[in-house]
Amino acid sequence: MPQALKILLVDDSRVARLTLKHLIKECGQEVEIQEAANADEALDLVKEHTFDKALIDYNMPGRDGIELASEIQKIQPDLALVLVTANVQDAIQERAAQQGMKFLGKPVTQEQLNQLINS
Amino acid sequence: MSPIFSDDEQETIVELMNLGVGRAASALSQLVKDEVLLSVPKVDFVQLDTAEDTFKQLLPKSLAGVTQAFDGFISGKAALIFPEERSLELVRIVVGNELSASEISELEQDTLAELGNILLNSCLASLANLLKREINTSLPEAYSGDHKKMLEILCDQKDSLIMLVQIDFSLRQRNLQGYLAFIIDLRSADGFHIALQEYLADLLGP
Repeated sequence: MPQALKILLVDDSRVARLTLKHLIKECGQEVEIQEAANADEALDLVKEHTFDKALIDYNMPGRDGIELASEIQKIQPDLALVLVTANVQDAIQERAAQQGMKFLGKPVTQEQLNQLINS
Repeated sequence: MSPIFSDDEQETIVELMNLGVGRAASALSQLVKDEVLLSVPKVDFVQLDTAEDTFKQLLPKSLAGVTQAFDGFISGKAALIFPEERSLELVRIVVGNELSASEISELEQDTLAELGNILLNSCLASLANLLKREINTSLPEAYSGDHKKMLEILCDQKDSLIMLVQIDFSLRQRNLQGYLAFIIDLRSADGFHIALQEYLADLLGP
């Protein structure tokens, strides 16, 4: 039996996390999802658990999603990181790519999530 | 004509906002699963007291919505505005009907903030991309109150000359209307001038 895909969701908005969770569960894969509302919570989880993918908001209190990605990579270098944000500026997308992150613009569609989860 | 921007520049601002709001409307349409109808953006250059009169004429008395501050080559605040009595209905449309009334109510502020975050960022990011500049946006803040309170939130500098860009939108299948307003502080308009001139020069070619 295939192992469940372990996913970390990081977004200060509970509604944004609910929306992503709903879409991920519709992807047809066995998943285990953990949530963090800010960078500190996310780092605590990354220190304790191994994840396959982390979906991270950009605009959060404290540190932004790209700064958080840089800290996560020191702990779990192989974790696939995705920046999920409505801030679709070219400059942000370029910085995300330089940090080795994939990029998804909000609102995320089911098709985009399917591709991401099943890749 | 505005004394601050030339006719060409003002026309460019309207067109850029049109493109930005078009992107935001597409995002909203995806979230509410309904067609979003947009007005042509209206750009006014006003003092704070004039802005209050304008808001009084245009908007319902009790308002709810989200504001988001931004800075970079332009600075100011953007607002997503709805009639307050329709706010819960909008939240229900976005989060779906499976949740109970108390859950919907509990998620109201968070949903409005995320909705504002998506719409306002879509618009501002599009503007920054088109002008090849960068804008930093703050965290969205949900609010409710009357025009006066909203203007106090939007304009913290009483002497500001502001550029008010106002767009009305509505959902085709539901009788729900909202407004987007961008208050741009023109005391630091130089960067905006340069960005607009470069954009126009690119369009017109050598």
